[in-house]
Amino acid sequence: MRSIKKRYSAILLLLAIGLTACGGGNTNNASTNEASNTPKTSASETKEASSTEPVTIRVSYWAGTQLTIDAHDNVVKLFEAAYPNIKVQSEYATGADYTDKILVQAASKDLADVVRVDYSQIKNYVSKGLLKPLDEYVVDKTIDLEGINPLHTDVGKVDDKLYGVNIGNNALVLFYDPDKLKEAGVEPPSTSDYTWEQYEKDLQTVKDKLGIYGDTHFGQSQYEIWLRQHDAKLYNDAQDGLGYEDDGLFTEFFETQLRLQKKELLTPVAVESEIKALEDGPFPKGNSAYGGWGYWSGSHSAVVEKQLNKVVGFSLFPGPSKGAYIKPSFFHGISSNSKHPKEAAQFIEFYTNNIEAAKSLDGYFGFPYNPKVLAGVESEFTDTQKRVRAYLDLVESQGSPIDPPAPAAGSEVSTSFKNIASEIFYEKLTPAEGAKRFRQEANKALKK
Amino acid sequence: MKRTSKQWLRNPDLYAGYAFIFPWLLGLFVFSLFPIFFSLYLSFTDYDILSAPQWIGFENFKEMFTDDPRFVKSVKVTLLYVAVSVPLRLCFALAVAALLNMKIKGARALRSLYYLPTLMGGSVAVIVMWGQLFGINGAFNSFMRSIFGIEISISWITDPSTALGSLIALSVWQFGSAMLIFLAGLKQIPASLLEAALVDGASAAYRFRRITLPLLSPVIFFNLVMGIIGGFKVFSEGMILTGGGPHDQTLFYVIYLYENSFRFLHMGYGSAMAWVLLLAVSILTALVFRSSSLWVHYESKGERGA
Amino acid sequence: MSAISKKRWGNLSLSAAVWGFAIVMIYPLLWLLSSSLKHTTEVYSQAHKLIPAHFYWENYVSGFKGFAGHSFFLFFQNSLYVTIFSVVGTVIASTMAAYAFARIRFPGSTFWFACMMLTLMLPSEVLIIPQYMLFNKLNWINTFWPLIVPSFAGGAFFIFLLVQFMRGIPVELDESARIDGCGRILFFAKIMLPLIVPAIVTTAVFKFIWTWDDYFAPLLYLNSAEMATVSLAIKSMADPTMETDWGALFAMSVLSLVPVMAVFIAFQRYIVEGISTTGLKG
Repeated sequence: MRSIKKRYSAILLLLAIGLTACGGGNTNNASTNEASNTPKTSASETKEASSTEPVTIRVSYWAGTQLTIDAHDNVVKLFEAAYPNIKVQSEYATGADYTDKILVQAASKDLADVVRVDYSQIKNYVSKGLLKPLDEYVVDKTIDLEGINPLHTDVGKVDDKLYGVNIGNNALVLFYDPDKLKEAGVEPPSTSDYTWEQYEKDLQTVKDKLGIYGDTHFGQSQYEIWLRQHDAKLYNDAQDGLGYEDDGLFTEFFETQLRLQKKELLTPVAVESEIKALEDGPFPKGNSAYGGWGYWSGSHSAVVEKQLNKVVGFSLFPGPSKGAYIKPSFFHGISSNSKHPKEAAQFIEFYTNNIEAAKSLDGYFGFPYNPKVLAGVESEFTDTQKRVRAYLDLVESQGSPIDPPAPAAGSEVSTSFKNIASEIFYEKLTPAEGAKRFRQEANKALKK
Repeated sequence: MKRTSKQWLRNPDLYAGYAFIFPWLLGLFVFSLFPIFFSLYLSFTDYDILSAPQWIGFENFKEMFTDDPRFVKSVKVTLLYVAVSVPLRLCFALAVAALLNMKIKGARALRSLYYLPTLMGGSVAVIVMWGQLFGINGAFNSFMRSIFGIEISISWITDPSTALGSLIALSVWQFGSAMLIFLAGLKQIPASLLEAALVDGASAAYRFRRITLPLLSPVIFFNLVMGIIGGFKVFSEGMILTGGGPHDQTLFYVIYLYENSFRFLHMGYGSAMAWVLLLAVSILTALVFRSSSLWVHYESKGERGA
Repeated sequence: MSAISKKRWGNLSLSAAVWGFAIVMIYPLLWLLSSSLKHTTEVYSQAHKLIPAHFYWENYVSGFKGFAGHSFFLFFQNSLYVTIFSVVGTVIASTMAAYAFARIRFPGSTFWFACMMLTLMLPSEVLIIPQYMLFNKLNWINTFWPLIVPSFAGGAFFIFLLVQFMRGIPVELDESARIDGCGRILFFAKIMLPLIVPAIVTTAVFKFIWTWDDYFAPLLYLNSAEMATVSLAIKSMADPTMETDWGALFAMSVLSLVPVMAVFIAFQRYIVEGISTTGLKG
């Protein structure tokens, strides 16, 4: 029995340690609790807050990483200094986590005052009444959009009302490695009318001369560009079916890809399937001459150049230039459950138009488009940012306006596309069969 | 009638029993009951999370069983996964636990080493690492090349023909938790019994089969039941490593359920899938519980030991 | 070859196999350690190299700095706080409930046990929304309560585990204890608890690891940066579509493993050096 007692006292000791640890933690928690509860009580008390009463607003954002969290935090500090009566409580999550978190909050009508919404979601959010129209704040200049080309702000409109303020501009880009092209004796892609034939020829030359892969396979974003090049869209206007009648478009797109794959001009699917991060792709690793993986001009350019440790070239995708488009990287919206829409609008204004804020954000979430802001930050642009700006100008002049936001069933359609593309590239399915199945699956999802 | 109810109330076990399960019962009522019944209600609705649920009766269930090839695919994938990985992991964990329970030099260090993979769990780092291990140019393939001279250019986790197999291998590799529970169980077996058998001249195999196994059976039963339940609910491993791909080759049931609920915003459909799973797994578990009287040996039921 | 040397050869090759396999098992950790010492741009381009070209200790410094003005020291504190509470709550409530299910024949015990098993089978994904609604109603969002308080109801997994262990304890003990005039509570505390120490420690270790690793509940319920747990902080260091400081990420992943491993190594002997044998003899 002695050893039982020994063990027993050991457990008691353990429990005691645990309890003291709890005791210590408890006070800690009480204080954090108080801190975190204050905004809630003050929120209910200051329902008709005038602009001088202390107010706390919640701002949720889609954070890339430490870098963006720090940049955002800096903007918040600047804002709080400029508006001493407003405290900002920031919430962030990365990647798909952000979507999950926002959904869960939306279901409980617990969205932050300022929410960040992607182009693909805004229509759905507005139709579910989650966002407030911002027009009154634009009219009274709380959010000052004067002097901005409406092209950059109208994208945030649904049914002629503004619901989202564009955070910055972005565009899909086909990167290329100038050194590799030079070595292979290939001309850099021309800035307009770079044809698919030329692209294929160039890939072949690169392979013959350097023995490396030309590019990676194209996916849905490039397919949408391809459709735009043929004056078609992925979704029809009513968004209850595909926006093109001719399955030949699908077939031709994938037949081209398959042909390139068979000539070994594209990185093998198996290698591409292993890509785990932005830095992990064949192009940033220096294993291919072109980077058409679906990179965005905004934050991706800097990463790719850093990884390769060289200046990269920016090109439109092959095919008629009208396929290119400028996309708002994200929108700022005000949730309809917000009790402080005015202060939220002030934050959005600050984030969008303040020069110091723009300097801190450094174009990470998309490129500034307000001429006043651009003039203010221009002097501090890095060389990469100058190239990004030139590319965005190119897209703006040669491309055409972005397609309407995807419907709610868009993610289902994307999943179907991804699966079918995978089966085609693994040669389990012919492009013609794929076209038929995609039409059938997409239409089923869209009709729901 | 009155007398029996009074007798029932006078039963001291009633109060003792409920006193001991009180914290759990309270938690069930406060934290679990509403979410559980809410999800049951949702399974009969069309609910897109962003707006109020719409009652649609059995539509979700009807679609699931008549008009959803991906649902069928996810059932097949999951069944295959459970059928292969659960018994394999169980045997593996038991074998390693029995080994580590023997007096091998450095058994303590070995236990820690063997448990490590489980400790590392599903962190971001592990995902990247698996790619390095079983990628085209990964450690495994180059090992095969240098030792056996076999050229392999398969990306084990992402190739359609090997993805599911790789996930199964991975789950077997993370046998640490089951192993630990087996070890704890093995330690509970009175050494006196085994010593007595040894004195009687029983072989190691005989001792393991006739003494260790029966006395360990409650723990084996636990690991089996939890293995089955956990196997059907497998999610993170697949979600993190393959996301259900390539083209649905590893589309586990719960991955599809999650996809429906949070990506496609068919939370009603996702809830319906959850309840179908609950029904199926509970029937299976009930069968296992039924079978337990045949092979699980409990001291507390009063049966005498081997 | 004599029988003895044959046996010895068998033992030796067994040991060799066991240790050889251990190297396979530990490879991931070595790889993680090595990645945490590589420069961020080398993490992917030099992924196959187990020994970094240069030891880049700065990863630990830059990673530990954390973000939004909060260092990892705070995140570790938060994690410890949540984890210790959860472990204590889980162990107490689970052991109590398990004792009732294993040893007391009270009316309704089968029913409640079945209910408990059922809660294990429902995928938690469909409970997320209503659970959040509940905690939101309680005004618990952005506090540690949703992560801690439910633990004080125990966990079905652990209750079941402990039940199985308690059922392996000879029932004669109960009877002799009763003859000695030992009441239920006394029996539970003085005899049953010490006998199932391996299972209790298993419970504590598992709960510790699972709570420590969990990032989804913290993601949902903790909003402010200063509330983040280690796993949540690490998760927000990485986004496959954005620039990531991979070196720092791996460095913090290594650090986050330290408490988990420490707990495991410190307590494993209670799991595997069970006391039941000696206890029964005494």
